[in-house]
Amino acid sequence: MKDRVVVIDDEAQLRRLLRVALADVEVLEASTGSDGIVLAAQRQPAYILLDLGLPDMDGKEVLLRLREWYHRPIIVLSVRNTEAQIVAALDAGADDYLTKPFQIGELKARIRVALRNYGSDLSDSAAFVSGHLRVDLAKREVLVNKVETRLTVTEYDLLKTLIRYAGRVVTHQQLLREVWGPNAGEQTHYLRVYINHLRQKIELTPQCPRLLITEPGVGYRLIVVPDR
Amino acid sequence: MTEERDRPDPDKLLRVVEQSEKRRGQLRVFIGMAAGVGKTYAMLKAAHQLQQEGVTVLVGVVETHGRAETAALIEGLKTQPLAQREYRDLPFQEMDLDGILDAHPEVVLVDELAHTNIPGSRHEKRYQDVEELLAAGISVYTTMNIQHLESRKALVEELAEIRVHETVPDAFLEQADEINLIDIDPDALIRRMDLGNIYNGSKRDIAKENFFTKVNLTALRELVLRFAAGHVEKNLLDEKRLFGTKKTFKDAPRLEVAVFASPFSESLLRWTKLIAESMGGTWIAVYIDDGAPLSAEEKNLLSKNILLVGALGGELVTTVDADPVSGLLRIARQHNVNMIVVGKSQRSPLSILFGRKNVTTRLLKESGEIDVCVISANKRLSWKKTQKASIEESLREPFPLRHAGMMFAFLCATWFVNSFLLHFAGYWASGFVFLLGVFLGSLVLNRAATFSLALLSGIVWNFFFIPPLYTVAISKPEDVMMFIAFFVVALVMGTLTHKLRLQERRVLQREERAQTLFRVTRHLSAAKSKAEIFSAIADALSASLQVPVAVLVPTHAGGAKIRIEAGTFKVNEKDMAVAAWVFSNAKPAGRNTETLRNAEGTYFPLLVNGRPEAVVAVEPSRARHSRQEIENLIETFCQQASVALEREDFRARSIDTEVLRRTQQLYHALFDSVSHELKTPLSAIHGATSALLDELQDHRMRELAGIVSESSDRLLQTVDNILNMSRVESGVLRPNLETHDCADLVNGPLRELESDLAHHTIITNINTDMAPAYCDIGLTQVAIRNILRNAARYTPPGSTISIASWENSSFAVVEIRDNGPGLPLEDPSRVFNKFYRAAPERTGGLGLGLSIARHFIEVQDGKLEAENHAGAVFRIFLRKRVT
Repeated sequence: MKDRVVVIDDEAQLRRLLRVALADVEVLEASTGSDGIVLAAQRQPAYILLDLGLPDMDGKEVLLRLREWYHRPIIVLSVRNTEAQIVAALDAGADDYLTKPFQIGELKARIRVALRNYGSDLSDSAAFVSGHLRVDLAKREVLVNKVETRLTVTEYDLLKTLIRYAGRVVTHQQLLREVWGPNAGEQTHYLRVYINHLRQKIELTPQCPRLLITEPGVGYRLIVVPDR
Repeated sequence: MTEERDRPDPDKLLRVVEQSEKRRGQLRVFIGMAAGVGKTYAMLKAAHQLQQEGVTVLVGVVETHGRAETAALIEGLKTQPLAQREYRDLPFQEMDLDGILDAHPEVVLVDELAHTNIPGSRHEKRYQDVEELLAAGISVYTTMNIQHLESRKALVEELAEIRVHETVPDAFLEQADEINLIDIDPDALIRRMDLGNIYNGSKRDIAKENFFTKVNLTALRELVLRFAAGHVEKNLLDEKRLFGTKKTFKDAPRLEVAVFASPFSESLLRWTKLIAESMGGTWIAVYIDDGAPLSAEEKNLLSKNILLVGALGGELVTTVDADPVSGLLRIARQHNVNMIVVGKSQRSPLSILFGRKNVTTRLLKESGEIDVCVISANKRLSWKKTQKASIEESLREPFPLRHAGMMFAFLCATWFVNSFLLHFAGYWASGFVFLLGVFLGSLVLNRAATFSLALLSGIVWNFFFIPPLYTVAISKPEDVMMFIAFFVVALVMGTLTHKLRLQERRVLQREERAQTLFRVTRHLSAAKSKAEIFSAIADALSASLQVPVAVLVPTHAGGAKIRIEAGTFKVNEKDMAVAAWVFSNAKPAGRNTETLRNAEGTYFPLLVNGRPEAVVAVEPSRARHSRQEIENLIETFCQQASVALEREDFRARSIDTEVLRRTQQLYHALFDSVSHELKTPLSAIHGATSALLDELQDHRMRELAGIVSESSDRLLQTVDNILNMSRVESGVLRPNLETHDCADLVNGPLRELESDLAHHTIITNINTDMAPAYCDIGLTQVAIRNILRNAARYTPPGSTISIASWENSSFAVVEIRDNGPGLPLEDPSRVFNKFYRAAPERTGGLGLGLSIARHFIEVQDGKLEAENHAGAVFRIFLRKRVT
């Protein structure tokens, strides 16, 4: 039996596109927020794709209502220049986001990452590998091109948090909360400085990062480069 | 207090800025002690110098007086031909003001500043012509002799025993940017005179005999030297005050003098001016309106004196107070006056008799910390006028025929009654009837007539009723007592009744004034538009002045034409030009003024907050009010009107704001829906083709899908650009400023354009240690994307695009350069023009990308520069966070 997916978007053409493109799952369509919530409650989908610009409800409102009982991945879709809405959605519990227009390949990759993170709880014993970076979480060992690199405590905590959400976007608030604790507040410039330090140590070309990517106005993303 | 004073005076600074910034012309005056010292010569020399420096110089008018050297100097200078005028059928030549204004040279030479124009010219005096030239932005070089300076006129008349008819106000000369003293030894001047260099022939002898004596010339020389020294000192003080040098002007004295309707006032004003100047201080003249009615002649004198205040460079303050002493002191305290100048009072014996306290004595008593300077009347200066004035003083008011007639009627009536009464009541009773007559007469007659009636009644009573009859002599002592008592009672009664009536009239006048003000205020508060405001002013003014009045406004904002907006006064075609002049010069003109006096009406500017809003036309022929009164009235109305006009302005503006708000709302709604409708189908196409490309295996099919995908991408870009341009032009773009690293700004666009830049070599040299930029990342990335896309499009494959960043003191800079063919050579910044494309036939596109880039950077207070340097170089300057 196929997995079920709920797509909540008011654009019929886009729903049609997703129905065709995501051929390996059963796509359930809803054109309004309230319909989507009802549909998700009835059919228990494997994940939800949610458009933030809905006619009846605010996207964040839909997310909060879903998150009361739904704990599987939710990926939000949005248009450009709506960073504030995206951040609000992510902080309200969305797993990742994608701006329109997007490539289907990109969407599929995001879905994969979200599902993997949901399925396997990354434990401390595991090792994280992405391209030239290898992090042994048990030994607290960081290897860049097979050379050990020393990180400060904060840098390591930051990297560990990013690894936990590997492949997904992590908002500034999330990072600050998880690394510096609940009282870190709005000190985003701290974060910027530490991300820069981290890039100096783990990137091959720090000025043009390939692993630790900035999502403008939203947060950071640690890219998972598949093994060759 | 000290610190307050040490600070540069903002008004003064403003004036200097205005002088330097406004395109008002500069005034340079060549001043000398007498004719023949070489002023015109010096002026022409200076003009030649200027012309050599490349300044356009025009000779407006130069009087050579037949001197050959001077005439020779005119050669080589461009000359404006004189205008031909006719006056009383005789031809005259005057400077062609309009011709010069049309020619608009940088500098114009105007000889003989004090010259009086032929009646019928635009201005009465040449210095007014010069004023207009300066206002038009033309610099003026001019000449004058010291004797023509208003404040020195009296001194010169006294020294040289001549009459000076033509004068230039001090205020005019004070605005001169440069005063050049042309000095020569008196002996040398007399020698030159003898040689005939100054006047020719017989004119020379007369001139020499009357004026060119060594004594005169030495005195005049001293005068002009002192004047020039004073000017230099004033400039020095101005500079010091400007730049806040301490201890200057700390106790700059401020003098006050009363201006009143008497010829004596004139010499008082002149003296005050001289004292103020010698003390390095300023002075104000106060007109105290005590409500007493003025005769036509007094009104004339008063407005002449008030004009003199302006000409002498004083400030006029008008106030209403029944008591001149308290008025003077109140204004003095309000204006921080340190010294009050008063004249030795010339009181008539009558006023002493009736115990009016001497103004000077009271002032001395009540002035407290303020000094009082008492000046005696200069008899010689104005002997003719004073004589006339003293006769006037004794009668106080002119004695119109009407009053004389009425007085005789009263006299005859009482006489008639008494001649019957005498037979059965005796001559004492008839004395009382005469008294009754005097009393009744005083109710309607003016003071002079009342006094005359009292006097004549006494004489008639004595002559025809008191024995011995038909003689002036009185036989019985009790009759003498009775007669004296009669006189005293008659005079006291006359005076008291007169005073009472005067007070009553004052109350009435005040009430009338309050009524007028109330009326205009009520009308103005009800007025809903500018037109109604002006019509309210016209009605109220017309009612107060009881003559036809009109309000004129420009036909359109900033226009030279003017039209009647409200009122009943019919302004003729010729006068329209006068009204237009008044509007643009913000000065009164027309009948009874010094400018364009041949006009039918008198025209006053209606100033609101110092700017002319309209022109008030008053028909002067039937006006019972002096110019000063009309101006005061108009000023009062202007104050009321300015509030109303401001309110009207606010109302109009609030409507505008509301319209703007709704427009913006509408714009946002429309923008969002258009943006949505355009982009959604494109997003679907984009997504669908990307899915197709993932799935398709067949080579031909992939090619076709590729075409769809690329075309939809390009359409998406175009839509994005058009929408972005629309955001720019709507003016509703609000950047969301935050700190961002330059690397983050650049990397996003680089990733997005990976496929576009696939055939180019990209070199990035981003300084990761530099301070972050404080910018809107969305807008900045659009700009960088557009520049990169442009570079990809206009450089051949294989070219190198390098991106670097650095910082300076206030900007974080991102530089994008390529080694392609570069930007248009003559003006690289042309690429920022909307719809500019370098090679339209080759590349396509709208030509909006770089224009948007620049707008997006500039809206964040940044800069975007373009230049050629072995290819195209773009530099984005982004603000750094100010901490």
